[in-house]
Amino acid sequence: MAPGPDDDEVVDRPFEVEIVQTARAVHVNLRGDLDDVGSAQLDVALDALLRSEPARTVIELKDVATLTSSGIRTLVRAWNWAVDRDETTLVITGASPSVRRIFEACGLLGILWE
Amino acid sequence: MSDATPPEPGDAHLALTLVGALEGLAPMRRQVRAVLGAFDVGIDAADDVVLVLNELVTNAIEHGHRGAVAPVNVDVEIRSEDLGLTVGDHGTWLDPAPQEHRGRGLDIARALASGPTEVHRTAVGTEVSTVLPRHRGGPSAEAGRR
Repeated sequence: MAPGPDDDEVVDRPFEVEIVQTARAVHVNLRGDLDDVGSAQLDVALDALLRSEPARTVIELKDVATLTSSGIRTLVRAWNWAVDRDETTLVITGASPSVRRIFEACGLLGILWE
Repeated sequence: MSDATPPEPGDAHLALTLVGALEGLAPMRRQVRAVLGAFDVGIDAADDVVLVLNELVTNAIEHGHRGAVAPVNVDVEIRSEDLGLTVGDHGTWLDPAPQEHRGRGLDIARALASGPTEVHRTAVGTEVSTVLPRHRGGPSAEAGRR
């Protein structure tokens, strides 16, 4: 059941973390599968970013195709980090219906900005 | 393997043996999604199957094999009304308190399942089986990925 070229093109795109600074917030735009591999990459990016204690961070999930429990763990860790600090706000937003269902299954809809 | 539901015309069976490394999860997701699409399983239902298999195989690798590279057997029965999933490893889940996010794996499976999610000790290891609905509405997985 070898994948065809089209499958490779669509599914094998590496996970990407794009960090964009605007006047109002730091946007963390995620693309691809937020799985074990992706969450390890995001952990590194968020560790570096959050150490600078930005006032407002927006994690954008609209281009996340697959979210696994590893990805959930990374997002919850970032959320908890922000909750512990009065001077910073972290927003997790843009979940597709399928990704939203994972938050729902984990009882974590409350951390999504909808 | 997962239950005693007799096969009907149009039923299908997908069996994969993975090497048992986390790097194999993405190719597995791709293969399973392609097969489900070919059988007109909807995108939402296919997403659920792929996610649950991802969690169960991860558990098998990390708790069954403790990170060692060993085969993990994945079995998907595509039936008219539901999808039977079974993941078997060659280890024993001795860790009673997995990391928080790993504990979510079985919770996710149970939340998405339409039947019981069961963990069995077998002669060679541990086997987890569950049942997911085949239809959640929307276009097929094959159509939706193009």
